[in-house]
Amino acid sequence: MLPRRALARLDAWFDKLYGWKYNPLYQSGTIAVLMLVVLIVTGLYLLLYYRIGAPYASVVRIQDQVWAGRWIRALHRYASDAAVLAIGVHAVRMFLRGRSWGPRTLAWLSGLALLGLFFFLAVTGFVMVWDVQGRLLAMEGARLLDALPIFSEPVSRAFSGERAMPAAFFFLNYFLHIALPLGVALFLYLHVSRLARVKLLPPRKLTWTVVGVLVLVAIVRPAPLPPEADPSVIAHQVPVDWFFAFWVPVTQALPAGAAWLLAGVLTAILVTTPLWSRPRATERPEPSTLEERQCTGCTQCSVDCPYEAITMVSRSDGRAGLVASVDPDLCVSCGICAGSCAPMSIGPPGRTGRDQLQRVRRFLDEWEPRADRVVLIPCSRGAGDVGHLDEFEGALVYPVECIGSLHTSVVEFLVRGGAGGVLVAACPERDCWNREGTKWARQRLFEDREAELQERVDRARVAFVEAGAGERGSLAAHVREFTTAIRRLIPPEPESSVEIDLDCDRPPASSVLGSGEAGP
Amino acid sequence: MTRVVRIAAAVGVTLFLAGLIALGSSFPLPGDPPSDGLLRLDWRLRGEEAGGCLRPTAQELAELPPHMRNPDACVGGLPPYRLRVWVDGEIRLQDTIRAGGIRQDRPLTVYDEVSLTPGRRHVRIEFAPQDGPPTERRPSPSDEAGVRDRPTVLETEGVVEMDAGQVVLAVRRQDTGALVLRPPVRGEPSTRDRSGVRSSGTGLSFLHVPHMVHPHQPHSHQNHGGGLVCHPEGYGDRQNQGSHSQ
Repeated sequence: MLPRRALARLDAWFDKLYGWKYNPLYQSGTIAVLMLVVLIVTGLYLLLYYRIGAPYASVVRIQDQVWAGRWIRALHRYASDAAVLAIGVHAVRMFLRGRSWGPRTLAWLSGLALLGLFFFLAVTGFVMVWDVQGRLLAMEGARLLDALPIFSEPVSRAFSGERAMPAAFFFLNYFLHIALPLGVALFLYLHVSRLARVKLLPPRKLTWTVVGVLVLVAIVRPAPLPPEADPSVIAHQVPVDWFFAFWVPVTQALPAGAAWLLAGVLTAILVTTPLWSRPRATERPEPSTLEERQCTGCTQCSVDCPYEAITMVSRSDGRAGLVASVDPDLCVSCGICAGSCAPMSIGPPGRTGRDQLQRVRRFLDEWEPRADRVVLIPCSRGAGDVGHLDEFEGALVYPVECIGSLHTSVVEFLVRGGAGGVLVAACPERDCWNREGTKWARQRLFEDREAELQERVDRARVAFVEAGAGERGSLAAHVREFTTAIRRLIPPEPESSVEIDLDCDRPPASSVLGSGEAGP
Repeated sequence: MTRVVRIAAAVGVTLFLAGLIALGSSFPLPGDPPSDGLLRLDWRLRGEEAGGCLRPTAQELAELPPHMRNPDACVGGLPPYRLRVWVDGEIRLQDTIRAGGIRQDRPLTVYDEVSLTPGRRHVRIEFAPQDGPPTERRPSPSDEAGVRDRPTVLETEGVVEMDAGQVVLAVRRQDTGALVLRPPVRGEPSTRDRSGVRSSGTGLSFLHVPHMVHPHQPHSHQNHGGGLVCHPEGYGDRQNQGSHSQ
């Protein structure tokens, strides 16, 4: 899919420039929230000097007389532009990465509502100034409203110039501009309500960089103040904010009915995205399931689940304690619980720890890795987009759906089964196809997070890299470097049969996976 | 890519994005300057009511539930009006205006625009019941409120001299309800005067603009500012008086 590949390339390019942590494409959602914060702070300052009875004159005063008013107003404007840009990037990313359906439907729909609300909020902001742009937006909006059989009189009459604009109009506009942010807050809450450990703001360095750049732009080029609204002349070449008024030339060229039709079709397409963008029923990944008998109630899967889809409930098998319970409506089938479960009792069908061990056994049987050869475990959705290959830069490729779903026992199995080394290639942390997969995988491999990689595994033979889908070159360099390092090590003795512990608080079940079936 | 090149590229991309925001934040809409002026029609008229009132007998009323016993249940809405605009003797707009509301009992509202070639233009506007004025008229709620003597036909005629891109309004006067041509009001809520009209200073020139006046009132010479000059002529008065049904 071309747009998806283009996005991967862009991601890779921005990764190179900014590093994954500060990549503004990855952080588009948090940047949008940051811009909302900037808008609230600067907006409160501007409201101190805004007068409903003299909208334009008060903005002129803000520009010319209020301390830093010119810059604060410019910052307010540019922050709103940056916000809409960030929201647009965020929405496109989510769509191209298939995050617009299933359990993410609420996030998608609330995101659309946020976008619509934000647009309306911005329009009220432009109308508040009552310059030529504000009047243009008001008149075009009124023209469109007049096509609807709602009002007994044309709304456009209010802007004909028959009388001075009533203060009530500006009061209503002012009220909406202040009240609507409450709606934004509500939808933002809904937007992230299904996520665990929500990060609303970008990393501190990026936060200050973005704000600093906008302040710089506001100082260097304060937002111009167009002429006052004038109903006695036909406005032309009106300077508009294209981030919000891009639709005006389109609707102006269309009859109002056609403009509504177009808007209706676009809205319908966006609102129904969760329906038409989802895979066929047979291709949809199934939610995680639990083998209650094997669950020890350790709560790790519940802690690690990025979507709060797992809760701990009382056991139903008569034993004391708790057991994990998966809510299929919330589960996105990321498989991160499979990687977190030491006794391998939970995970999407076919991708539990036990399933992974069966698969790795078949892999070893088929490929017989050597001591001078590396096994590359890439995320099949990112990590250089090498998941479909059998070999890459001399390394055997063993792709997984998400690095977060990789059980550390697979790494142990490969190393003890004769592979010279195992290179785990995850997506950049902020670019995990799911959420937190990269973070949890790294901690499980090197920081003893449950289900941790056992101490007996030689860490010199395990490495972890992050690479986006468009960073194949970077990944290739890492593979070559790791292979060279592995060849310098003393070749290990491959074990004829590898025993993997399947229980975290009970004696090992002595499952011999090198020569038999997985599981006790 | 060396570290220096990478940082330079990152700064460059950041500045490009910032410039994009600054530029896109205020960029003119495409389009040529308007070659014509504009006549904007904007008024509201209660109009004449058609139909009649049902006057049920005492027996008929008694058969109705108490809350439905209305001795003077009027039915019918407002008849459609015909709007015509001539510019230099050529008809430029002809439309049938129907009253608002599902029952068409809401006021008639006109909001339309006619382009005018720059220069001196003779404009004539007529707004009258499509089927002629009704012969019999019953009081309406607004009559009872004291607004009985409003015109039922609106007409105005005059010469307007305007430049390209300018707008002239055809509206009703707030005091007499007569149709007049005048420049739009330009101003913010706090800057208007008591009459609700503020000088625009647009340079529009109105020559010989007769307007509709109340038949029982003398012609009112008014100046709405902006060089507006009204010279009453007989046409409006003649038509006005002839069409009124009191």
